[in-house]
Amino acid sequence: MTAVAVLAGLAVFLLAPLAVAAVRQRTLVAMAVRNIRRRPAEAVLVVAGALLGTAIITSAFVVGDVIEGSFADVARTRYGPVDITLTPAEGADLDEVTAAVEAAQIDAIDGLLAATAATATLEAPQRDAAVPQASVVEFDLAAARDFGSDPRITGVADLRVLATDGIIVNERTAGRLGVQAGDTLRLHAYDSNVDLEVSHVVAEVGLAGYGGAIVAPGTLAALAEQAAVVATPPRDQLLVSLDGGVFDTRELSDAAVADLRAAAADLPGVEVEAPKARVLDDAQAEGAGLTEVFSTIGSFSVLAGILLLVNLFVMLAEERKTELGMLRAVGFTRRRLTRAFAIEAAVYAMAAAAAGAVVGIGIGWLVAVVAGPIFGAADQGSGYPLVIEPASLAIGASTGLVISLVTIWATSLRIARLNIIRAIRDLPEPKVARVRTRTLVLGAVGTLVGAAAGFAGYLGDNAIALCLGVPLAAFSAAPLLRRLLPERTARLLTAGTVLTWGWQCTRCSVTSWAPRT
Amino acid sequence: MYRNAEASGSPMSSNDVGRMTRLAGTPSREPLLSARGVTKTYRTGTHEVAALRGVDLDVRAGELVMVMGPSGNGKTTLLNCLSGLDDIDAGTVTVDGDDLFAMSDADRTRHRAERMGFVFQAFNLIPVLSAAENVELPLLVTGVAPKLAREQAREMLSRVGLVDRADHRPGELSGGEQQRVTVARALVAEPALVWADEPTGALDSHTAGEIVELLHEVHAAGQTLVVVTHDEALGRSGQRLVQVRDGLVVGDGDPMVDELLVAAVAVTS
Ligand SMILES: Nc1ncnc2c1ncn2[C@@H]1O[C@H](COP(=O)(O)OP(=O)(O)OP(=O)(O)O)[C@@H](O)[C@H]1O
Ligand SMILES: [Mg+2]
Repeated sequence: MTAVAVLAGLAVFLLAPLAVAAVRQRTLVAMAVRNIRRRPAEAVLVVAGALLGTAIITSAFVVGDVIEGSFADVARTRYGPVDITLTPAEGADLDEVTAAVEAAQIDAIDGLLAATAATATLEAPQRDAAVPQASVVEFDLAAARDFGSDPRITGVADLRVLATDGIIVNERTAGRLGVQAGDTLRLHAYDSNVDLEVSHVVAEVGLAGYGGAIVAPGTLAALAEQAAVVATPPRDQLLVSLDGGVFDTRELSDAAVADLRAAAADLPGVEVEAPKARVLDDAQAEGAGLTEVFSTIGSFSVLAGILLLVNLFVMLAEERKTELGMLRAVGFTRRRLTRAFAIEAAVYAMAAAAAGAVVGIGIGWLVAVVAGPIFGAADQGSGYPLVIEPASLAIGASTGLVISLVTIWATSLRIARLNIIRAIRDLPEPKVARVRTRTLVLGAVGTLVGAAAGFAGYLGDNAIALCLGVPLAAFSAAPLLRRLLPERTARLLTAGTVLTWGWQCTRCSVTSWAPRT
Repeated sequence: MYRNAEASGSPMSSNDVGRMTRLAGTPSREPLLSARGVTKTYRTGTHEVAALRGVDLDVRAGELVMVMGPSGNGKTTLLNCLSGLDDIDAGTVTVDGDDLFAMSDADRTRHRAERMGFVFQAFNLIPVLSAAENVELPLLVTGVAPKLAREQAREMLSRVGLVDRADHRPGELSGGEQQRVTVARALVAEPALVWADEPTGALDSHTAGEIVELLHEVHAAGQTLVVVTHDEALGRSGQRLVQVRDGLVVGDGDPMVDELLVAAVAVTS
């Protein structure tokens, strides 16, 4: 959010002088608007070119958001209200744990649910199908409905009763077994089995996802009792729901875990875990990682986009050169001319930022869908929700806008230096054989900043700073090199360095993710 | 003058009165423009063209100065350099007591906006602005309130006979009409000095005649003008003719006297 604030501040800083000029000098606005309307096709082209940067930046964020959303959706499908689990040691009494937790009166907790979980094999005899290692849970349905503050996220809100010989399966399990309500399922556990009737097939949400199947309380214990040797008996668990719904409990989680550990400290071997927080944290890390990968790759396209932008605005200025020269002759100072041109360009820039954000959403989502499976987001079942984080759009649009505005200012300051007579006669500016001192100074500063950014990026493990610092240093060094080397050699050297570096960065950022596939 | 013309029902006459009192009918002693040793060399790659090679020239308020000479001898360059539109390599140009090239670019621009008007061969109007909007530009850049600027622009357009075309864009006007708009734009801020480079060069002879007439009218009303032209008739119609050859001023005086001189030289040699 601070990034957005800084970027928005920069954009305002760059736009303010234009806004002031526009308000005070209506003619400048009239000229800008009419110039834009005069050539609609060209206007569309300029906006299309200028939105490139915004679209790439936005899409990098959207990829992250979509992938994060895809991973985080597990919190909804497999946990719902379940934030924390307390698992006492084998044979310990769950009621004691419950009593200890209740006595601790932890504010953040809005629900407790006693459950029993086991790993079992589900077989559908008629279909000749089986799911080994299925997670099967038991809990009281009536209590489950009231678990947490929002029945809808429990996934079992509509279920009334479950007969002792009944079983509820979620859609994923039902799909793997090919069963539907009314079919018989055989539950194998502890060298024993029991036939149960599928009473409901429900969506994989909340508690109905925490277990692939839900059976009536006592079912697992009955099986275990028949067995001679029980390797891993059913585990009793106390499920804890924290204040809030599915995704908004993350902040409470760490403190609640600490409180619960303290509450259960006197009871032997109680494991306190926060599986949902882990899911959300992993999702966020995945998303952020992907955003970084794609913005690293994208940053080179953004560099290309900036060059395109410069060319577009220089082209616009070339087209109006005679006019711009005439305005100077009529008494427009360089400052006023800068504003006149920049107002028009800023209209394009703002349109491009808005359009670029929208295009970026589309690109980002497509990239996520295509690249998601590579990065392991394929098995999420929930697919790729089109997550649109306002913050991502704001960052994408404001970064794009700031890049455009800086480019516009640089271009128009340069344009305003035109020689009036040459402009009016539409003569080309003569080539400056000698590198200007100012260019040298700027080049030196750019080289230093680029090198510093690159070095800081290397030390701080920030791929974007590292990847962008080097080309910035290389480009900035070009005018310095031209003093020492023939111009051609200097250019080749600069371009070669940047291209090689870009290729290496792209390769590295992709391969650094390869082990996760 | 126009800028305080709100009370006057007839700005045209108030304008004339203003000029008459300032000029008292005849050119004043102090030169309005004074150029000394101005040189200008164009450098394109390896080529160098010495377009001005030490030009001295004075223009007094109220004068109509015609500049003539063979093509490529530096007339346009002279106009561009003495008006401060282009840079010079050496020399000084003083206008209204201010050294043009000792000022910052911003000051020179303001100076130009307040004291000079331009008419070029190629009209050079802003295509997206209407005639009135084009004419009011010099007023707006000097800080005249938009409403007043529009009024004055319309008055000036009516003076050049184009008030009914005030809202037309340049593309909708004929060449002669466009040039009249340019003249209106050059005059609207009541500049001390108007520069015109071949103002009739792109017009047919009839339309050109109208523009010549307009320029004479403007001069008669007290305006100082420097006009570069190839048109013999226009060139000889002024009271002063400056001859430029090879980057130097080679003749300066009354065209009638000049002609007599040329004749005399022809007779003696
Ligand atoms: N921008 C320029 N670059 C290089 N040389 C130039 C440039 N402008 C003018 N010249 C050269 O300077 C000389 C003077 O040109 P200038 O335009 O002042 O002549 P002129 O007397 O106005 O000619 P014309 O009557 O044809 O308009 C010419 O030799 C011309 O080729
Ligand atoms: Mg010329």
